[in-house]
Amino acid sequence: MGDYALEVTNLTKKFSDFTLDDISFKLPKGYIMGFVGRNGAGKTTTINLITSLYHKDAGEVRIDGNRAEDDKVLYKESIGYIGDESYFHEAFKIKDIVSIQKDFYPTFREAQYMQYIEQWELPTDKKIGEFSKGMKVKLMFAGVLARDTRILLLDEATSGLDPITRDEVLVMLQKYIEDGERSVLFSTHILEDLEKIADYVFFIEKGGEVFCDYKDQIMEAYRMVKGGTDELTSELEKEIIGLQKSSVGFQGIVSREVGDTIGDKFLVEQPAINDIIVAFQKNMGGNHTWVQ
Amino acid sequence: MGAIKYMKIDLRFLKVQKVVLILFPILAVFMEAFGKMDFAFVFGYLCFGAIIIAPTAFMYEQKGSDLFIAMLPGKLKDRVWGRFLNLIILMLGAFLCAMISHFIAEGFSFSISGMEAVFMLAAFCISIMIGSIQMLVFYKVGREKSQQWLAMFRLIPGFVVFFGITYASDALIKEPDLLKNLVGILQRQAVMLGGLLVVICIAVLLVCEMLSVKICSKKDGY
Repeated sequence: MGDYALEVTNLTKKFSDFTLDDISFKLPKGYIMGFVGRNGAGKTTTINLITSLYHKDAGEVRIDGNRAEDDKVLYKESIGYIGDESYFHEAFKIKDIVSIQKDFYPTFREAQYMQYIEQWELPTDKKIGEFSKGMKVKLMFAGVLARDTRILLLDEATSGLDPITRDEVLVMLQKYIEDGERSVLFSTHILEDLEKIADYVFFIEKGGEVFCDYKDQIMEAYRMVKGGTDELTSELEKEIIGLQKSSVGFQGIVSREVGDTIGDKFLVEQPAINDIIVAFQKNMGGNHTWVQ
Repeated sequence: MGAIKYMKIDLRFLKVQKVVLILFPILAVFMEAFGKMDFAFVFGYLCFGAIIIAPTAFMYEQKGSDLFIAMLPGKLKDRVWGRFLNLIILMLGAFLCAMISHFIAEGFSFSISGMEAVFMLAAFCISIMIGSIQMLVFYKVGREKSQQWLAMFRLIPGFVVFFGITYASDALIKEPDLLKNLVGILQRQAVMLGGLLVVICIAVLLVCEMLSVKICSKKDGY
């Protein structure tokens, strides 16, 4: 048993048109890490490598100290995976899922699973193809929560959900890590979710790490600066990440050190994690629209 | 044991084709009982059905449910074996249906000649071999490409078995001397030839399965 729920070390995967380059991070037990980046930045590739669905070219992944290479069955048992699309066959009914889970997962608790099904009012007589997106996500959650896992991997699982269901999902994630032994890695476009529940943030861009740290430390390391356009000097402009200018004013992110020195001349405030990520993204020339 | 778990999933995929699964044996009974088709034709038809239904799981894997299966804690070898077991189960199903249809067509009595038994064994083994090669091709070509070629891959092997068996049986009926010689050889060497065919069939099945595992182990997504 390791101290970390998830350890990723120098993870590399080369495709003909994309390379996931030397990704490393550690996620302690009992924490939630938000995994953010644009479409095609490498989030899903990283998750697929963690689940051992893809073969890595270099690096190592450990879940609770175990590697897939040592015991793939045990390794996969410890993972709960939820994607943005339902991975159940559309012609299946809940009883099919129960039967498959019982066959493959020794720790699967049918009574608990059926309790979730009842609680979330999921129809047992309908085919999964007839379920709404929210119902499908809940069904995937029921499968994961009704067995013993060490880490929950969510790949854009909250995208496309209505706000109420999204909130329910976030509550489920908080509940999942409650015992301090399990952790969550979730990739998302919805920065508001990050703000709400992430303890750690990993920001990935073009297959490489931009930053990865404790969310509060990231927020502590930067300041949001606002002022009039006529006050903006070229020196300050060089220091600003994600500068936004209009005819009357400007705003952007600066390091805390810079923020402390200019606090008397400009409006300097604590940025939200959303502001920092959007600023970095803008600085990289991206035009991705984040949901805030 | 692990392979059986995967086989059960593949059998669940067949539920989508339950109409086809029900119609195939019903038609077999009608063909033999009322259409006066010979037993060889009916068994060939059922083998054809089994071969075209066997790759159903490949078709549904392309619709996203592959991720669910890939995430299950199991060994790749078992996963591939499960699919080959699925083929064997379907072939045994075809065999059973042929027997039942023959039983019904014969007015609820059962008689089968030695020649028919040999013929059934041959058709069964050849179908397993063709089905195994078909599976190997699916694994080799990959999910995306195999989707484009799906119809051809599914139908050609089935047609080969169906028309091959029908043509062979017709040709033999038209050539009494050839049939007589063949029957003579088969009667003298039935056990040896039957055994040889079974050995070849098992060898082809095992080689195709091992090659499929090797192919999948190098691919992402398995």
